[in-house]
Amino acid sequence: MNCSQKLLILCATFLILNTGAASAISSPSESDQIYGFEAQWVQQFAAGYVTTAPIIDDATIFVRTSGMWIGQDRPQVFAYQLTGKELWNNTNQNATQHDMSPLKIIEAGQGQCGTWSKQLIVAWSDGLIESLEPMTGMRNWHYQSEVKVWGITGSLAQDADKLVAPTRTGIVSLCLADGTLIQNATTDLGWRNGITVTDTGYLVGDENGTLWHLSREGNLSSYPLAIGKIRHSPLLTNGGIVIHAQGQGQSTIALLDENYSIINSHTSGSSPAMPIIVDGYLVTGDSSELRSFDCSQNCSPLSSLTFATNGEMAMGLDGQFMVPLNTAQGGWKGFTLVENGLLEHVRGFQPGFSTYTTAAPAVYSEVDFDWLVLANDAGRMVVYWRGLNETNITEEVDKNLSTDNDKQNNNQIILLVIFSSFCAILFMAGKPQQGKKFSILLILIVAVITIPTLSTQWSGKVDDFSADIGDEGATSGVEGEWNQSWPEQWQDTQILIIEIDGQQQIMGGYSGYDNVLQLTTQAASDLNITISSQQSELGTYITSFNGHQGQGWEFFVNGSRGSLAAENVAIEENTIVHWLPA
Amino acid sequence: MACYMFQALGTHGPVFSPTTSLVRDVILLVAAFWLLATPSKKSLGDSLLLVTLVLAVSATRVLMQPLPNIQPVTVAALIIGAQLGARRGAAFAILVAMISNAIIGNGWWTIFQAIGWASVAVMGSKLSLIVNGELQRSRLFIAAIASAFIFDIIVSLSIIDSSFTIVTFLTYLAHGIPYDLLHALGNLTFAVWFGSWFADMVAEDIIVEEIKSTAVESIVQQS
Repeated sequence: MNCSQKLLILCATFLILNTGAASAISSPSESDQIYGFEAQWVQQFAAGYVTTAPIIDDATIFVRTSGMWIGQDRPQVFAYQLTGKELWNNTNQNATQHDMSPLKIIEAGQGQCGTWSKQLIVAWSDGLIESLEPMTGMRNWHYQSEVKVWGITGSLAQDADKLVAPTRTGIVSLCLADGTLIQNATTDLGWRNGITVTDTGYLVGDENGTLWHLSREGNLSSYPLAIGKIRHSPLLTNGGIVIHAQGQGQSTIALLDENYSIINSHTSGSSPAMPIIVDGYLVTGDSSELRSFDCSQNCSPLSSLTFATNGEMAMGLDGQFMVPLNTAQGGWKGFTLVENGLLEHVRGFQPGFSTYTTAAPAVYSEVDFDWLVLANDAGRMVVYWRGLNETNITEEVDKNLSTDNDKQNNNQIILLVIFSSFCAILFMAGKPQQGKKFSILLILIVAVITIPTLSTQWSGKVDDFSADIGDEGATSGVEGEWNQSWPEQWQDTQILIIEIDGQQQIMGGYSGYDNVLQLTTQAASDLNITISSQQSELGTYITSFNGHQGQGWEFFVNGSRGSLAAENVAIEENTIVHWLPA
Repeated sequence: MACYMFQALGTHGPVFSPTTSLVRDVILLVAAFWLLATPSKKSLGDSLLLVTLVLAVSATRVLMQPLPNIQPVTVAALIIGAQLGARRGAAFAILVAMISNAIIGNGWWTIFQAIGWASVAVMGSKLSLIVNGELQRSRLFIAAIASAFIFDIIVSLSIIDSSFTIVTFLTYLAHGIPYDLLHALGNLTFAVWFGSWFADMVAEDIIVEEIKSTAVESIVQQS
């Protein structure tokens, strides 16, 4: 071997040793300081989403994975030290998909039904409720609730010595000491149907839009609201109970009085996030906007910002609340409420390898430092840290999202001008070989920046051309045009059809979705259809709907067969996307 | 039987079960080692160099994955094919596809990527890119551009299923032309910047024994 080859081996060894971490950290931004935080470590889970916020307790991070199960992978719960050392992990081989019931820490205590030590409560999509010892993951007790396709997907609550859980079919309360069943009430089917503990008992919503109240004495009452599906824990405000219900292509924010009657309501965007109370104000989110309300009396709207969020929101650090951005861009944005409850966007947290994001972050403060844990739908968790002396960070407040993009575009143009000038100087300085080398690099950089956009336009031209020559890749039975049987309000909107076992599941009235994957993800969620997908170099491919893999799935846009991965096919406002088994 | 092996066969290719994935990996590994099992004995240094190249190029591919269709493996396969021959070039291609996809994402397409890069390596070995130890830069540049399209077409075959017509497949290929161009441009850039350096790096040392052997053989032939 010559010296160069030996050098290559040395360099390669160094490169390879770093590839494991570097491949996980696909963008340098994770290792950069973001607003004073430094990325400490990254965990890329083998498969599945993280759609529920990690929690940090006693310097231990607990996180669960959910969904996207292909092959033998199953939902898991992990515990890590803040340094990144894994303490334990538990896998539920019987869990199906969408394990998204938030993890819950219960402090040690005692009550009428006994004494209990500190415990981590994990509720699974197979209906199992487990009490675990937080440091070891060993089970203290368990309870099996009823399953109807799914088990538990909503948030649990503690009521003195009782754990109150929203099962798929109702409400159970269990003794925290040993898991003994205390109450079991049956409601209609629920989904992300979180429990709220009130002075008189427990509140939970269901998929029919009915609010249920179970008193501690066992009396069950139902209150049909007819405003859509209730997929969060009802919020208690000074003005009354707040529900943000999911309707067809829209949502309704309703304020209920003490008799559970609607006294005020507001229409909002589709697929609502779980609302929260910040500084006494109500904050709601959906696929269209983030809104703030004053619910001290009648929940009057205060302000709104264009935003797409469909999952959890939570308080972060520095008085901000953090909201996941459920678009391909992903990431989290920090907001505050300024005077009179007006929303103000403060800053963004954009870890590398961005993707759709629905889990709220976890924060943890010690004497000298703060921890921030971010996890996204790609099963990627990043743990950030900052020291106390860095808390007074000079923050460049990015007032709105478009400003960021403008700045980025300007920077790109400036860099290109500098680069072009450099190439020209090389040619003029009599160094044509160097000039050519840098010119080809410049052309490549321009191509990398522009081709994704050009490709979309090119694909449109190709589709038009293939339509002209009569090959649209069409298949019989594909819905490519407006169907008179569809609701009139869906006219000129985005419509999605999924054909499972010969049955068409249709949802329409959507607007603003940029590509087939975005629309499919949203509409499938609204239709209560679970999606499994697989990442490939060519993009994300849907592998099953509701577990139906069949011989694969393909989609048609306005009757034309999709030739690219769903996330790479742009759609217009007036688009019909039809998924069929291949 | 194939229908049962694959959990799903559609326009996005079949989804492999764990068993099928194992079978795929074993087949690719056997193919790679069969290609490496040349009659002539190679030194430890040669083997170490090839292993290093495989790992280094795999790592580079993983690191460059965020850039759309920029594929450092293609030019590397071309040059390794030219310098070390078709067999080792093809083995290199298969191993890089397997190792890098183990991180990026494995699937049906891994087979086609392995075949695509192996074809590029074979192409590199046949195009006289190295003449008398000198890299023919112009030929390398043309080959680098052409190999992008050849590789992309081979990988695109992975998408074909029973519902595809020729026109549908051509339409599919047409959709990908911008990214094919990007691949070609990336290859050209790699060739311009690193072609000579990489070719020198990969060049085999002529060891003293080989010089002696060649000299003896020529004397024997003359006598």
